[in-house]
Amino acid sequence: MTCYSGFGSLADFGQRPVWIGDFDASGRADVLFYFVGDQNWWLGRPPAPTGPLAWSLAGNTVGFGQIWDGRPFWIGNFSRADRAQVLFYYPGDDNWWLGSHDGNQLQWSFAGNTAGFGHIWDGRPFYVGNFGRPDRAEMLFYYPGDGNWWLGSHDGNQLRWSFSGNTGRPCSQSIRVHFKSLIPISNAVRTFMDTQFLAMEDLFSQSGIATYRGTTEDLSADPALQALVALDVGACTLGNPTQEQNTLFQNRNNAGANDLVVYVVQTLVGGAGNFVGCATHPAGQPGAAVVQANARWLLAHEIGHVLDLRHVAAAPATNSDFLMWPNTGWTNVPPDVSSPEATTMLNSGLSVNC
Amino acid sequence: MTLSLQELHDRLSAIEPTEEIYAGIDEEEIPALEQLLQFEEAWLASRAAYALARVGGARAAEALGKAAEDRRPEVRIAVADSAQHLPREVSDSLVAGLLADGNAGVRKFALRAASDESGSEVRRNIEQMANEDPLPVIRDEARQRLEQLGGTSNP
Repeated sequence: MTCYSGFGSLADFGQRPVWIGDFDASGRADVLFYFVGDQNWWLGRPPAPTGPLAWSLAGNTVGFGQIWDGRPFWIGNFSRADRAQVLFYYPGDDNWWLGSHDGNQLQWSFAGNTAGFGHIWDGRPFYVGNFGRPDRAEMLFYYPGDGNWWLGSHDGNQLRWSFSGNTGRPCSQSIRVHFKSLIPISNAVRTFMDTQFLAMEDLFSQSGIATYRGTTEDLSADPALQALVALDVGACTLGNPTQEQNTLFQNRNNAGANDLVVYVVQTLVGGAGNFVGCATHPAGQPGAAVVQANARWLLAHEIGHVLDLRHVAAAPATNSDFLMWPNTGWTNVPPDVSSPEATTMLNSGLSVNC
Repeated sequence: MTLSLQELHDRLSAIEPTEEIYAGIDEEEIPALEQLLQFEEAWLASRAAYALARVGGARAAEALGKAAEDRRPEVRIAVADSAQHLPREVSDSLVAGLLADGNAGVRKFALRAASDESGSEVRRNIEQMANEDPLPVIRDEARQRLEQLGGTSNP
């Protein structure tokens, strides 16, 4: 074993990152550092029982290029229970590499590729721990984009990634949506409400808006409301509810002042024919009415109106990619919500802080 | 140029329709509109009924007559609500029948489709609704409608 001294200052972490771990399986902690200048790795072992660290060259990674470039490194016993190892991810090609000390040098092995996740070094949090196995460290990350957690466990060959649950996306604002149905809530109606809500929840969460499901109420047996199952919405212009809308929207059981109530009706009749949805509501009683339609983002569209969004222009034709396209024929679904539209919804007086 | 079924479908798929969506739809589109009347989605079939009423003519009236007997209340409501666009002899026939429909929504919009020009059969049916409709709210509206139309059919 060759020993060295006179490395200069090891406190210069920008040039010489340092890690602590039992890299050589001796049962004691070692000091590992990498020198940016020559791409050499050095391992400092504590002599027993006392004395200076004994330094040995632990390899060179010039073949990888300059790896101290901002890419992440983690230390853990990823594939071997008896020793700490070095794991790094390279955003350039999404490859993972594992360095394991063989008693002489770090031996690097390919530990998989996560291009299928996209470029994951984007600020999302990563954690190292013995999450699923007591004998080895695993990688865990959370993706705020979809709220999913993924666990990477080394199988002796590569990291294998498995879905580990969903805790939702982070949010800036939230809304609560209740359903009240004037048609009997059959399985089909329930499926319609669930599907519409999930589509809206997923879409709005990408804009930082959490959508919480409130109560569901079956109003179909109320004789006073039976004639409203075919609801007259007039021209359906915002701020101009009809008398029938005024009557219906008074039904806000369980809904707070800022909560939105969605009324599921049989048909919406207005000036130019039947509507699929209408977001016109009386002041102080926010909500919308929709019919059971095979238009997945209908509810999101109408709630978008309630949160102050307006239709996108008919031209260019690619505007059909947007949620606020005034037709059920959205393209490139799920539809888009532009940044200004997201800001409008976040600033709505009906959304509240998360 | 005649619109294809798909083009018509797309045109009529507005979430919140305006009169513009019916522009350019005429007799040539009636066969496609008749197909749309059979679409599973009731709201789209209803939209076809509104379009047919705006096209007018004997064939459209015939299609609307069939639509007035559609099993789906949404479609029958569309026929009732669009009757205002039809000549009196056609609308009276449709409205008179729909006033006696088993669905409250259909009866409500048939009631609203009656006009000063409506014939005696329509007025008689409204009078009957004013006295016998199972829903109080419909009975009240029928009474108001009768007053607006100038009283009963047998003054």
